[in-house]
Amino acid sequence: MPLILCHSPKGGVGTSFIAAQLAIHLAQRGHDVSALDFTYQDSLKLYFGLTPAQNLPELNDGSAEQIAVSGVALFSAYGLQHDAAFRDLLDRPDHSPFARKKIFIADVAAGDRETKDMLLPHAVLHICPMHPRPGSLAALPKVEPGTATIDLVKTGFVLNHLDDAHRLSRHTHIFLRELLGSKLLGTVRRDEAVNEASAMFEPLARFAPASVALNDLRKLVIAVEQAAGLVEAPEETAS
Amino acid sequence: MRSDAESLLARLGRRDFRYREFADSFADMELWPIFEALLTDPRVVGRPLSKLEAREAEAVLAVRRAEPEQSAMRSPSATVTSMFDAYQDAPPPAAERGNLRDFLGHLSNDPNKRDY
Repeated sequence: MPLILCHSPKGGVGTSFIAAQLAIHLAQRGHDVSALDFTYQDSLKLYFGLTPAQNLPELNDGSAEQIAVSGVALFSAYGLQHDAAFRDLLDRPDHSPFARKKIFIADVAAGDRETKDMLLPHAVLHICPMHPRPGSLAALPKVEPGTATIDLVKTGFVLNHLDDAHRLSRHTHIFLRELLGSKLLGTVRRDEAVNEASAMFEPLARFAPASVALNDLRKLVIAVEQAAGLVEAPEETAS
Repeated sequence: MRSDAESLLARLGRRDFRYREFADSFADMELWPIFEALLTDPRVVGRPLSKLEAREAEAVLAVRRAEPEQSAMRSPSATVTSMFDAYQDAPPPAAERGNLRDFLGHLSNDPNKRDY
């Protein structure tokens, strides 16, 4: 079953936040979801309301006690990228460790291209979060070197931290909507409640149920379901 | 309805509003140099532009660069027109319709309709 890979060539754009929220919202919509933290920073769990001291079980440690928050099973997978058995599984032509009736959301750090390249062939969808800032825009050519950004077939973009009160932010949204078309899966507005919820060790939905970001995430997850083939695309209505 | 708008209306006790969200119009976008750089980067938009397309692109971008000055001289009626254009449904994204040329053509369409 599907692997959804969350990776951006630019760090600090909210990849872990988007990965966590996608996992939570997919679980809310009835999917069986596991979230895999492939990062050294180990910060995915913060968006589930866990503390830095709470260790996630290793994905390949069957004896470890499982942790599930907001309907999502959480695993650390940082050690897996150098695990020979895991790499061997990925290299097998007719087999994938993700071929189970479960959705895996992988959070991969910006600088860890090796893990991203290792997982991408197994992913049904690559989510590339962006910020409406020059550094993030300038990284667009680096999403998948060798393939033009607008020609990427597996990649969907999410414009995070959108702020309509700022001119460049508004214009970046319009620009990306035109440039990327349906590959821009959604936008998530900037909301300080996201940081406050993490600082309180609470899931966003519990800390700030009226958060504008939550509203955007609900729309985003529907677009992700369709882009990843988790649901049938809605039939087009005759005009 | 956006949850923040819904909670605001609930707090105000107002039930007689019609709620609608408006997408920003393409005409509202300024062509920042970083957008230009991406539009002419083959790593982003694919094959390099032909000489003819490059000339067309440069002409379109030059017009767009000069437009803020033009907009200061707009007639009042043009301003009203552009104001309402900003509330029309967003046009289909250029990338879905084909290619960079469409996008650049989109940029050059009817500059009087822009609202800076």
